[in-house]
Amino acid sequence: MVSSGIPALDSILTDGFPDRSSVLVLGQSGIGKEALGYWFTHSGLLQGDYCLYVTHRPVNDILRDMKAFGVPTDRVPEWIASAGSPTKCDLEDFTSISFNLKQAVLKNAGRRIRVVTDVVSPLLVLNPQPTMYKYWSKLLGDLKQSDCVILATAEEGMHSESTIAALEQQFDGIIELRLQVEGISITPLLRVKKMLGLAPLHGFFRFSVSNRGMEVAPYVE
Amino acid sequence: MSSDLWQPLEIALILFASGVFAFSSLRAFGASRVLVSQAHRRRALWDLVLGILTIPFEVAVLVFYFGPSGLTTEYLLSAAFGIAFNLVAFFFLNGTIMVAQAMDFFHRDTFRWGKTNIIVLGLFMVSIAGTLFSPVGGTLFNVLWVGIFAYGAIVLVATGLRVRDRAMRTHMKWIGLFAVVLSVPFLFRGNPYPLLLGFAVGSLVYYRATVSLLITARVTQAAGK
Repeated sequence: MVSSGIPALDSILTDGFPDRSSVLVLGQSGIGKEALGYWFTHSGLLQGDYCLYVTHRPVNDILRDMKAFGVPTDRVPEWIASAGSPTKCDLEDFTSISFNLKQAVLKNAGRRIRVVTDVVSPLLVLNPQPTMYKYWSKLLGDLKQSDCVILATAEEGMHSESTIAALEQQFDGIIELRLQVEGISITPLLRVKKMLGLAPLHGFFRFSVSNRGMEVAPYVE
Repeated sequence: MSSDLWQPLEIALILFASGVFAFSSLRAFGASRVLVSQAHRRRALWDLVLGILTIPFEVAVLVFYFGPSGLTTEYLLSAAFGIAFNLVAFFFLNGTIMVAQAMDFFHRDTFRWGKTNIIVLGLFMVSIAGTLFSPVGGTLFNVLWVGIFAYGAIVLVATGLRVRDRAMRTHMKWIGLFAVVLSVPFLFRGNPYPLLLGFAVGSLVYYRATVSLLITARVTQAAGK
């Protein structure tokens, strides 16, 4: 098992994400999906794993976000980013993204690898859906040939329900983040919708993201 | 302040708009606490500030246009608050457009707003000064003021259409509509009712804009949906 970097989430998942798996974090924009990626990366760096962050944003933006979320940035992953990295992430050239990603993974074969990416939604929006389904299916399959765990984020508000359903089938695990309105308060909730090797988990958990980290606690209606 | 301003219907409209603006601000505050990305949290905080400021602005506008004429304390205070609110509203609109551009995958500068916003701000300042202090041509400056807000709204909606995120795109559209609904009644400033109706309708539009930042769902533990 591979730690998510968030102890409370690890205990829900009985020790973390399964080896050689792909996990999709779904939720509306701004809700804190990226925080899961930041802590997952940080945990990997502490354990000496090879960590690769593939993003359509500039490296500086991600580092600033990490600091805001209380994630130490003394160790950083390798980047494939839109700016600030030796290898560029060009959303209009998705084949180069997968090529660079696979190359980086190949170079580090023998080590445990963690890949975090936020390019699922942009690529799905900018390219024909059938092409993207084949693309992700092939890419995830190839990456899992190595000792690799992939954590991807997708914006729920960018896709139709059918697209989300099709996307969910591509991944071994789905973590869903939602907002629940209760009177005048708004509660952020987390659910593990599916996870490879785990019985279905239907319960929701409260979560909060702050500069002290991410906390997950049981949700009582 | 003239006593005929405070008729029951007018008071009802003012209270209604103020209540909705206050509730929208409360929602914006809630959103700022649960949305963690900087862009979203800042939008929610701007919504909170503008929602709160719009309530006294409504009163200031009515005092300015329909209160005692001449350089009374009430007149000057309402004029000063009006200027301050206008500047906040302009920077709110400008900030929302810049966020929309940043959220566009290709960061397109719609209508070159990013390069011309300084000029627009200059014209905006001239229009405010002209509307408030020009002995002649006040109406012309007023039209310019409304035109600038309408232009900002058009740029915002056009930029928002390029944002693929549903929550932010909807937010941009409603904020654009809010700018139009709130500014156009100022063309009829001789009559308080268009202004009051503008604020009442504007408050509802503003509420819609604020809640659109959040995609909420009713979940139950038992159903797991």
